[in-house]
Formats: sequence, structure tokens, C-alpha cells
Amino acid sequence: MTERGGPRVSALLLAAIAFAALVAAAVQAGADWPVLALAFGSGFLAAGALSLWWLVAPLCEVVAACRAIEEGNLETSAPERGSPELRTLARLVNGLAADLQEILLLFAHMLRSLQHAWSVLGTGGAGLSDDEREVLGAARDETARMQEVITDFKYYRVALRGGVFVDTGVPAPATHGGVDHAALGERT
Amino acid sequence: MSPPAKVLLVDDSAYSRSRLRRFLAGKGVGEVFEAGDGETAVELYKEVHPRLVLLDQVMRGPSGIETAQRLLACDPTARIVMLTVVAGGETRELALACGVLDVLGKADWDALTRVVDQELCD
Repeated sequence: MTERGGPRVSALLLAAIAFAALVAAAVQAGADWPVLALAFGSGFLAAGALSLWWLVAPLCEVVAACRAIEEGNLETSAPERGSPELRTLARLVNGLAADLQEILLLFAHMLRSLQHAWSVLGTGGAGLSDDEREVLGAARDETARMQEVITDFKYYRVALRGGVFVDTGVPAPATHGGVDHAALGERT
Repeated sequence: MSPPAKVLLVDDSAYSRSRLRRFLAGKGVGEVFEAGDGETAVELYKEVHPRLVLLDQVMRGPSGIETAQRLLACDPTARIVMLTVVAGGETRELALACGVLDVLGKADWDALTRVVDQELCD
């Protein structure tokens, strides 16, 4: 039973018992069969709608998160709620987004190193043949194109500033010694 | 004979944790524990008392710095090395001021090798 599953089932049972009591009272009071049928039907519909909401709403949230990730928004998180299976699914989706971000940022780091290498090789142009310079130029262009792909994504707590990726989850330091002492709090 | 060294890896990326695990296996590290978020890391730390914590900064939920603060609140002698894939002088300054041993780039295997050798081979 999920953390919220127990109370939900109890609430549904209580509602079912209350509904049954109402119907029994209606029968005793001599209510017509069509009225009773309508009451039963409404009760079942309400129970069905509640169950569907409990199952479907978290699933819709996971699907929305998947769509956002597919569009390059790695900032999104699927809420981990609902049945155990749905919570596991949400956790796995969030894990995949974290993996994708990790790989992309490592790739960005590698590309920056490559660009630096190209720029160093480029300055030694006197020693390169025309063919070698052409190959080097093509490699530089390809590296730049790959970097553009990486900057198309929206990252979780990371942003591109001045051509490098920085951690946006850290508060900007106070001017006092370059360290935000207020954010650190007291530590013995 | 001293007990095998325990290392706790904290990173929300399973891929990153598996890279670090392979690296530590190559170094012959005895026992490696993993946590996917800060809260789990604190609970696991209290349970296993690792000799070294390798902690990612950018994580969903509590950040690496927040997690380091909680770990150090539990155990002021905790040995924590922060790993980050992004640049940021503020991250480094804040982390070191919190009591983290060092802040290393995730692609800097040489630096990580030095730190692991230093911390686990004493």
C-alpha cells in the first residue's frame, strides 16, 4: 500500500459505507426504483472518477515532463506521486533527465578543450600545409556546430554565461571577501 | 588488518555514479555506497559512516552545498570532496567555506586520483 494509498482507501470505504447507509434509508423511506438506480449509478460514477483521477493525474504529469524533456527542457521534473509504479516511473524519468544533462555538460567541457586545442594549433599556422589548415578549419567549424546543439537545451540549475556553463544554484556572493557569509550560516 | 575503506557517492545522475564507481573499483576501493539525492545521502552516511564522500553539486532536491552542510552538521569530521561539471568560483568558495575538502571538475581524473589516494591510503 502506498503512503497515501492507505488513507485514500479508508476514505473511499467510508464514503461507500455512508452512501450505502443513505440508499438503505431511502429504501426504507419507500423511494422509487428509478431514484434508487440513479443514486447507485451516481455513486459508482463518483467512485470511478475518483479512482481515475488518482491513477491518471500523476501519469499525465509524467507524460508532460517527458514531453518537456523531449523538447530540450531538462529543468523539468516529474512529480513523484501516486501509486508505487507511477512514483517509480517518475523517478526513472527524472533520473534519465539528470543523466542526459550530465552527459551534455561533460560533452560541452570536452568541446571547450577541443576548441582550445584548435586555437593553439591554429596559431602554429606557419608549420601547417594548406590541406592540414583546411582539416583544422573543418574540425573547428564542426566543434562550433556541436556547441550550438548543446546550448539549445535548458538545464537544471545550470546556465550559459560568457560562453561557459555556471552553477545557478549558488547565491551570488556578498562583496565582503567574495564569500556569502550569510548563506553559510554559523558553523563551529 | 584495517577494515576496507568506505566511500559514499552522491549524484542524481546514475550515469555519473557508475563512472565514479568504475573509477573507484579500478583503485581497489573496498566498499562503495550510492545515493541519488541529498536526503538519502544524509541517511546513508549515518548508517555506514564512509571514510570519504564524493558529492555532486548540481542535484535535484538539496544541492551539493546544502547536502555538505547537513552532513557536516551530523559529523563535523566528515571528509567531503565536491565534484562539479560546471565552472563557478562562487561554488568553490562557498563549498570550501562550508568545510568541504576540495572542489574538483568531474573530468579531472588526475585530481580525483590524487585526492582518493590521499584520503583512502592514509
